[in-house]
Amino acid sequence: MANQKLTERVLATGVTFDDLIHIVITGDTTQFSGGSSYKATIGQVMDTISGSTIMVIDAGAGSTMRCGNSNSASGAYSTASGGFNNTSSGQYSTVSGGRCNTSSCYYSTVSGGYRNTSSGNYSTIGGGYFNSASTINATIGGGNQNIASGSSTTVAGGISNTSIGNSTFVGGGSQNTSSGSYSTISGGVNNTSSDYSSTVGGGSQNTVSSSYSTIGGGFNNNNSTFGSVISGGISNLTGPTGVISTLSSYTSGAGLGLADATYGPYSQTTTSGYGVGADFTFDVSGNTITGVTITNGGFGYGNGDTIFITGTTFPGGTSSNDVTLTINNVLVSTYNTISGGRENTSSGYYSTVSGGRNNTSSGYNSTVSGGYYNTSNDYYSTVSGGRNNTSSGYISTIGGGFLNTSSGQYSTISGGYSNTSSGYNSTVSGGESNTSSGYSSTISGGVLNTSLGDYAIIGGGNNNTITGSTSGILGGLNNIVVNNCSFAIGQGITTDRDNTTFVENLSIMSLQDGSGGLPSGSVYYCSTDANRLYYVP
Amino acid sequence: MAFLTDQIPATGVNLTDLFHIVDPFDLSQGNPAGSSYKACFQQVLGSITGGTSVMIVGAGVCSVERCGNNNNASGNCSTVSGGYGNTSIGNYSTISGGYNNTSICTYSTISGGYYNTNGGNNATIGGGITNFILTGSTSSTISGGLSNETIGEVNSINGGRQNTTIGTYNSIGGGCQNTTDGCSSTIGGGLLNESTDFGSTVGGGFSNTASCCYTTIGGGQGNFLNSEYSTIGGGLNNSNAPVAGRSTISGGESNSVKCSHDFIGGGCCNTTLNAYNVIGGGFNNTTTGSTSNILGGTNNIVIGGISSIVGGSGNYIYGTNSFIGGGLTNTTFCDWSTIGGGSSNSSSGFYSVIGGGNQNTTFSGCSSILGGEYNTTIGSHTSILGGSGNTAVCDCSIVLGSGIMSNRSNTTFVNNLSITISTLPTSSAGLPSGSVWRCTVDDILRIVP
Repeated sequence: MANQKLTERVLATGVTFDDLIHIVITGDTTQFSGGSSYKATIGQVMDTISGSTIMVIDAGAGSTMRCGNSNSASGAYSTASGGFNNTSSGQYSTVSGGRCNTSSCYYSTVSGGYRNTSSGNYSTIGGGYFNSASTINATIGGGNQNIASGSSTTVAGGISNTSIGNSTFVGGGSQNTSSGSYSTISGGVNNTSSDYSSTVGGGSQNTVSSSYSTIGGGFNNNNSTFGSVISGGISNLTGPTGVISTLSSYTSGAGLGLADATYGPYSQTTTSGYGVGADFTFDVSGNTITGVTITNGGFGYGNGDTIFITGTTFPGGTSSNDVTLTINNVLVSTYNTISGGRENTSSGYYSTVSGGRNNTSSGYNSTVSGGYYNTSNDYYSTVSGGRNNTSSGYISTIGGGFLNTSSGQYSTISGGYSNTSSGYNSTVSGGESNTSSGYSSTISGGVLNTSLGDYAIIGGGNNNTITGSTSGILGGLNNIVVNNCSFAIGQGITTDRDNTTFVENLSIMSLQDGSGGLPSGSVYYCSTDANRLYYVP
Repeated sequence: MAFLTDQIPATGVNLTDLFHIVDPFDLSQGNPAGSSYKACFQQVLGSITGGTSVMIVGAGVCSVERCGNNNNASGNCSTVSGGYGNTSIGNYSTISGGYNNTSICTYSTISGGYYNTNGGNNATIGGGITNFILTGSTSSTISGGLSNETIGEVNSINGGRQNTTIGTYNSIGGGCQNTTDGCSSTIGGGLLNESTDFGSTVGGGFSNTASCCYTTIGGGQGNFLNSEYSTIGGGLNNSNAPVAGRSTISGGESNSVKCSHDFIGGGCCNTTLNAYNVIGGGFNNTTTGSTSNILGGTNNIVIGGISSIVGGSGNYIYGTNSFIGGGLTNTTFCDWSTIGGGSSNSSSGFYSVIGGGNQNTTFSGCSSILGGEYNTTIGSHTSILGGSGNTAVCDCSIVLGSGIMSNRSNTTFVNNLSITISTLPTSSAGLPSGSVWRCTVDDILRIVP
């Protein structure tokens, strides 16, 4: 046995770390100059080769853990394969590396980083710092202090972003919150996308709070109406929506003990819905509330919502004066568009503001293309540009200028300053301080002209006035046409007959000498009669 | 027998080489210290990895496999470092953990999750459930989420549910059931959006489609882009036609761009049919002439090129270089014609102007009607100031009044004429030719010849 060759020996089975092998320590010459012979365990050899074995089974059945680094793989078939102080406690969960990461649910994953927590089933965190994916299928790619807490939500990166709603997405940036189902924020800072399929492309402090609505970018834009768009700009606003239009009932008996008067305006104490900002006045007569006026419709209300105003709001009032109002109808705003600019508001159905500043389109399908402080607030009304213009008539139009008001149905102001077009179908083309208020009346230009008569026309001039129907003033100064079908050409003329044209002086060029061939009514002169004027009868 | 230290140092040691080993717990050879055997290094390594350690060499050369959990590291240098039922088939492929994940191709990686499959070289799946990178999808990434799928190279899906990228360099941020099918196309999120051509983008929203190269849809619902370099900001059911490249719709509902370089700001049911058209907003407005504009209002139509309607309702422009300011059902038929406003006015002469009023008509070139009602110009260079029912028939005639029909050229027609006596000259002295004066002797009007 002692001289048996190693190759002739029986092959060992069940070899363990405790088994011995013959080893010569070459650095030890106590037995021989070439080294000393010792026995050694295989464990000793492995310690020499690799230090120690680092992958072990932890508390979880079938788990895999990098030992010695305070990791924990306590879930069945969980993995904590690297890093330090990582915990993989969910079944089939994984932490690949990093520090202080936790993967605590079924099939959850943290690939690396620091203090990340993947606590939803099938949730994933790629890396980063202090991220939390807490719901089923949630994903965080990386970044810092991001939260993915809706099912199938995603935060790709960035800092302090939150993706709450189902299937929401935040691409990056900082402090963005995507909370509506299928809502998206691509980037930027402090943006909020809070309703179904809403989108914020980027920018800062933008808020989309209605479904299918979009903000492309910009700063401090607020899109709160269905299917609406704010492409960019600063402090642009869609809505408000849910503005109280009519009430269906109120507590008439709440006027008991109150003196006859009009009270208010008072705002709500509470509401059954979510609206705010509404104010009302109350007409009290004979211990009864006889009327309620909506002085401010507020916003955010819904049909059927109730508003409660405590009785102590009234001077000397008690709980017996508590009033409950029921909303019958609210104005709802949808499909608004603001393409850019600053502090613009689009609140009417399908209304549009293309740019400029402080413009408001609040009428149904109304449009403001640009300019400053322009308003289009009736159905299909339009302001193209300029400043402080108001298009408030049904299908009224203002092309531009300053301080113009187009308030008549189908009325038009092309430009100028401080013009008013208030008559149905009335027109002011330009000039200053002109007023066209007659039906289909027209002022082409000039200053301080007033066209009050139906179908009247003022071509221009200064301080001309028409009150007669179907009359005209070509221009001039201080003319007044009070008759129907009369015209003034000159200065300081006041008409006194219908169907007459009034002039101061008259100069006739190319006048025919004699009546030969002239039709009836023609004026001619007779050179043989001291140039006397005649007309053909 | 020489000391071990006398032996020549071995070279080329491998796992089948033998060495002397004693099992101290085996007393079968009669020695209380244990029994002596030969052993190969493979046995030793098996002891090391099958004991308290769990990592072994898998079927692949130089592979690493977490043993005992039905994992399989069959690719050369592949790694399955944890989890259960994971399979790393590709060379240099890696699965860190999770359940039943499969990493098929070279350098492919799955960090964790459930039933994920990675078939792309250099591709990565971060985690999630049933995500799938198809074979050939080189360098693609799915970070997480549910049932996301990528087919093509260098695609990425950050998360969400049932999203699909087909093509190359495509990206989907998140959301649900979104599809990119092109090259360098992007969907941020939302639901059921499609971005299907080179460089196309859908930011979010619902059921939007950017189907041509470099198209962009910000959000909204049911918007569709079908031509290159075009943009829809949002809104509902807005679209452009295949020939409407470089066009823009900011928002609104059911707006449609049919030609290139057009713009619709918003509103509803507006349509541009020719190039370089602009509709600012409003309802049911239509531009068909090139470089024509409608800024607002409703039911307005511009057919002529380089023409504009500011607002109003039911206004039509048929000629080129024409303009209607507003009002109701006004129509210009000829080039270079203008209607300021009013209603039912019609301008049929070149360079003709109607300021306003109702049912006025210019048939002649360079004619004008400033206002009034039922006035008509027939002769060229005629003018009607206003009034009602006037007709300027002869060229260069001017009408002031009502019910007048001009019958001579170069003549001004009035119903009656009133001359301010107080200012009328009483002598011809110093007056130019044509001046009317009053003779105080016989109180007769005379003219300076």
